[in-house]
Amino acid sequence: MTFDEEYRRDVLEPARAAGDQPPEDLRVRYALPDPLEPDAVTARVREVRQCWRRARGQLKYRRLIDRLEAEHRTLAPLFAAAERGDPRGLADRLHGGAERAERRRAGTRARLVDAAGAPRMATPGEVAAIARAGGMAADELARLAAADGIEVREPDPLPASAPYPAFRKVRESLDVLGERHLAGFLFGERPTGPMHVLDGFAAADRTLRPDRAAVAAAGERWARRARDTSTTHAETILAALRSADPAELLRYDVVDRLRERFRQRASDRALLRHAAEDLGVAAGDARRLVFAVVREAAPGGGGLAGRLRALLDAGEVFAAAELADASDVPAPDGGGEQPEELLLAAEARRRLDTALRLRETAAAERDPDRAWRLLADALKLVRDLPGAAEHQRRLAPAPVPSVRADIEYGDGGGAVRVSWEPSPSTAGEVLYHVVRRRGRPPRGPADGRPVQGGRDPEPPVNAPLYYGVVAVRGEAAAAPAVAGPVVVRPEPSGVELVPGDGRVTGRWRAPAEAARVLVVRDGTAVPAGRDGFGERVPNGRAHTYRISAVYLDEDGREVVTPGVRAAVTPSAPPDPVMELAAVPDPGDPGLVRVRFAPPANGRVELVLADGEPPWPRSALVPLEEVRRETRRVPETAESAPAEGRLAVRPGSGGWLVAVTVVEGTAAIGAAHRHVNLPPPRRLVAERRGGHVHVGFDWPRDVAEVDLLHRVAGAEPGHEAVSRAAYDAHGGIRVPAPEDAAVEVTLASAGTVGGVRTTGPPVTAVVAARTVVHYDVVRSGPPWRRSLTIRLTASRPVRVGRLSLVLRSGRVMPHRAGDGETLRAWEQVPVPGELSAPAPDAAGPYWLRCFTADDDVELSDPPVDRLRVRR
Amino acid sequence: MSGPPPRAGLSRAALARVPLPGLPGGRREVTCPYCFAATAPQRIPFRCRGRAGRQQGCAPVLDEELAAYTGSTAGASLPPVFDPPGRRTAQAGRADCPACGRPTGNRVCPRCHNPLPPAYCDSPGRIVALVGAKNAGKSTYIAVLLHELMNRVGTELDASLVACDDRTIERYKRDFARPLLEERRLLPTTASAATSPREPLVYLLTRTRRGRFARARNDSLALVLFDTAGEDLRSREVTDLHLRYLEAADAVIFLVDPLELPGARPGLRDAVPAPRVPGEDPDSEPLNVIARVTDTLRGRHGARPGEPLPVPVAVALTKMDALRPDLLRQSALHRTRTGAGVLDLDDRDAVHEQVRALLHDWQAGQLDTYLGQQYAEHAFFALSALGGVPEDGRVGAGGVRPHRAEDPLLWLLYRFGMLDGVRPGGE
Repeated sequence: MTFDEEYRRDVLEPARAAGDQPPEDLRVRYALPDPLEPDAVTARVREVRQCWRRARGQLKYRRLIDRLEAEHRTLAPLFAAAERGDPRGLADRLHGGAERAERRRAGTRARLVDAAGAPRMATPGEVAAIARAGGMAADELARLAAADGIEVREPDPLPASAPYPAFRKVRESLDVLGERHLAGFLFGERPTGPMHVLDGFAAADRTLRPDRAAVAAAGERWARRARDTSTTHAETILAALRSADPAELLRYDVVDRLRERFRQRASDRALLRHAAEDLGVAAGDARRLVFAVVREAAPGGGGLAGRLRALLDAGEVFAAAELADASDVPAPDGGGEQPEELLLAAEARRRLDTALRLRETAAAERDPDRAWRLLADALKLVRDLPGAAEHQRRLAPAPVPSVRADIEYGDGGGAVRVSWEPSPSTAGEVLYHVVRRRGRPPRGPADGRPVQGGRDPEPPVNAPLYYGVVAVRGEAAAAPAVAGPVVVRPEPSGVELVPGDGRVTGRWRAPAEAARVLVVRDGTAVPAGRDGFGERVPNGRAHTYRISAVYLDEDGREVVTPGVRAAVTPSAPPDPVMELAAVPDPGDPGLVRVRFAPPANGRVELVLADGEPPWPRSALVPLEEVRRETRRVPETAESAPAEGRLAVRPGSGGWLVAVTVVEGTAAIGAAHRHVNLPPPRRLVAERRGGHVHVGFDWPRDVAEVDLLHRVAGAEPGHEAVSRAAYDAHGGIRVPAPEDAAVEVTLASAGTVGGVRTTGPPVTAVVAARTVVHYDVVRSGPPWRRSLTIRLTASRPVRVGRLSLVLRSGRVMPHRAGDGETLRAWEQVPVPGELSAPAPDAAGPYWLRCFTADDDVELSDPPVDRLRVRR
Repeated sequence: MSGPPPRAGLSRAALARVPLPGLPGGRREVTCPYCFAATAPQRIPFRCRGRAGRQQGCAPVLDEELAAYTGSTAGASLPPVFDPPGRRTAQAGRADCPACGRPTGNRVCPRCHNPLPPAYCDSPGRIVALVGAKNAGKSTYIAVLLHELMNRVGTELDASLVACDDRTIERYKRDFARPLLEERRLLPTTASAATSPREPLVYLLTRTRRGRFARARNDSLALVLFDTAGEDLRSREVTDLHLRYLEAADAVIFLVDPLELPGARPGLRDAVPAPRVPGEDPDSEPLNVIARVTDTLRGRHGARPGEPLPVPVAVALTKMDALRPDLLRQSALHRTRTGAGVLDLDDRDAVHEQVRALLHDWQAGQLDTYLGQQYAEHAFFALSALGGVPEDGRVGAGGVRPHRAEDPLLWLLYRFGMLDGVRPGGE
């Protein structure tokens, strides 16, 4: 069994049986493999769609396949994603298939319940139609209907016409007599209970039978009464009962009353209530009656008129006319109210006549576009007009007026783009087929290779090609419009010219179809192979080359392409800088002056590498590699590379390398280790008694500083301080007497080429302090104690004002205002002694000297000399 | 200083020697510097040395006591702990493992199983507690003090400072040295002990001393530093609950931020940012914090009301760099400490009296009075851990340049008899 047969048996047939409903499960619909491999899925989808196309040839599958194709358009993105390797969307959709089928089944079931309405009955035809619409088997839906308590049956046949011609009069009489129905009149006042009217009349009371005896009994009942107008009406009714079958009459009476209500648009439920409560019909009969009455007028039902209407509504006017003719429906006579089928038949015949006229006109019309439109109008009137659709499909559109075929040369060869003006035909949908034919113009849409989207990406090379564009409408194709011949002859690709020292070499890829490659330099042919050439040329001049492919045409003649042009300047290779001397500018820290012997060939520039240069000296390296690995250091205005002088500001540490550049080549020259020595920042120098505490922020990359301290009156000190020592000791402490000014100079230090170098220095100065030491000594006998204040200093000074302060209590006076000034002296020479009588105060108290001089700082003696405990 | 140390036997020479002051209390028990449980020396358990190389030994087992202390089983798989077999072996400091028979000298705390260094067991160490209100600069001070003791001051004193356990090494490196000294970032406010469990940093400071006739002798001091969050000292409950170590402290260094003293405001440099509004948080006022600590200590020492506590208290004003230079004129505060390897008592007295005068000047004399009433000894200091005013959460120009940061510790060493005191000015 082939795949097609299997697929038709397993998928298409069940789907068709389910009312042309495509299977919801995509696994079934596309016979998908498990697991979902992208390649296998793509291949299987392609195979299934081919099967669809073949199956569509059979009329029975056409609707199903159209639906499948329509849904495939919405599913196409999922498959495209799966082909790209993203099967998630497809997997999600597969996952949701069962759920959707279940939802649809529920929807179908609900639809049936609606159709069954209050009587809870449905016809087999309805069940089948609903099942088909919902994509379910009718049997299954019938089972579901039974579960829902819905009875599937044909409606009971009801009498279409009255069994007694003058039934209208009977109804009127019954109404006048106030009888609710005929049975009520027949059986009189006796309670009847629910009655059965279908399958033979039966009442709850089995003694009641609508027979001659009952009619006679009713007649006797009325005969006993005095005659009046009511008697006349009763006679009318009795006459009817006597002349027709009373059971038939009773049933027709009930049916007629229900039909009347139904015409007045009573709902199912109202009809049921009317039948059961007002007319006293048994519940089961009431449901069947209502069901039958309602279905009588339903579409499709209702005999000939209904069928005619259904055909007309479906557009099958030809079939309707045929039916009318076959049923011998006469033409309406134009008087009064006409039966429906007459009117419908007349309309069908009228529409068919018009359509036939249009078809005849179209057949005689020479302009295919006009004929196409006439037929379209005819088909709009009569969809099943014989021969019209076929004729329309055979009407070819006007051919394409003009076509162009342009060659686009790209990297990998040439492509041909076909462009055309649209066909002047505007009727219907006109499609265009593009075909390519080698050697001669194509004759029709199937004559040659189809070209998708108007672009031929891989046309044959070096061959005359014709491109035809065919306008197609339906099954009819116009004459092809042809462009050509065009001949695709690509140029050599990947052309690369490399300049050398007095030499140029070239490389390319020649097209396989080319006979040879022609190289021309400045108008002169250059010997070249198929893939490259090499020749000697003078240095320092630009040479322009044209590289063309040469093809042989059909006659064996050479055809030369326009060629690829490229210019190149060969030059001597750069000479490296062999020696380099770099020194920081003494006057301008950060500026490095470099000297070298200018090389014979090339321009010298300096680049900065973070580490040692990765190339050996004298190496010839592509310039872009140098640019990638290093940073070019711009030269300052004072530079003169031609004279062997460059001045640069590298900004950071690293290796300064001199490179000589010619075109795209660099010769690696001598290198110089550059140490970046920025000055220390934020220098702080504070006096802390006998030390000066120095602090600063270390520049990045600097691990050592040179410290020079000049203490007044002493030899300058010099030391190197490492960063580790600085951190360990919390700054630098320079010993210096308090009365000596100190100048601290710091510079970053490093070793450059084995020589210790320092960066620019920074300086801080700490001013001297004049420190005057004093001591307080008590002397003399207890009754005449005196205080002696001894003043000393490292050099003779004079204190402008000195005061001796006493503060009572245990707290030392902090400033002169904290206590009582015992004595004050002006212009006190130091060294010297001052005397004062001891205070006549009771302890505890403190004594302390203060000075108002800003430039003198007093130094206290040990506190025991100042503190008096008692 | 109130209650000056005894000065019997002082020579009248220019370089007066002061004898070693007596140790406060006469306890013989060893207090664990980790959990502060006190144990008689002969009852300190040993830990087996375990396997080493090809030698036999006990296999490591999970030490549940240690794991409970550190809060993690990581690093708690160690050779087993055993009780000392007899009084003599315990005193010898070595014992043979009853399981594997290998001799061991590793001692551990009987309660928390943390290692107790032999030197610590031999000379029951002094536990120095560091206390201060929030923002007083405790963490910064710890980082700088340890760095100074490991480097400049350690060299000057001929003293080594060794961490007693790996956790201390790691915490110092991670929480103190790297951010402050290497990256020069100010340390963040320490999290409260109530929210994050912490351990003390335990160091052994060992000092070699040579007498004129005696041979070289090593003295050790256990420096137990708790980086207490300021909040921990602010409410009585938290102090009682978490800071058991205060009870075990043999000395207290109390840090006071002058920026927190309302009276000190006029004395600050212009560049110093304004402190919080005074009185906003009475819990963090220095006097209230030290009163709480005092209560704790009194409870532990069972001191009667009115009886001064024997614990020496060093009260240090931090952030001296924030004070105006003219405020420190004619003062020892801006000078470097004089004397190398000794404590210059004249300088000490001068600093003490000047800080006292400053406190009174700043209307904070209450502090001095309270300390005088409650403690047998207290001393005032002024220091700057960073040496400059920080800028934008970073250490200021020149990095960390401490000034007089070591002074409180030198005074305590002197109090504990590990450092000689001199009086260059004579007595």
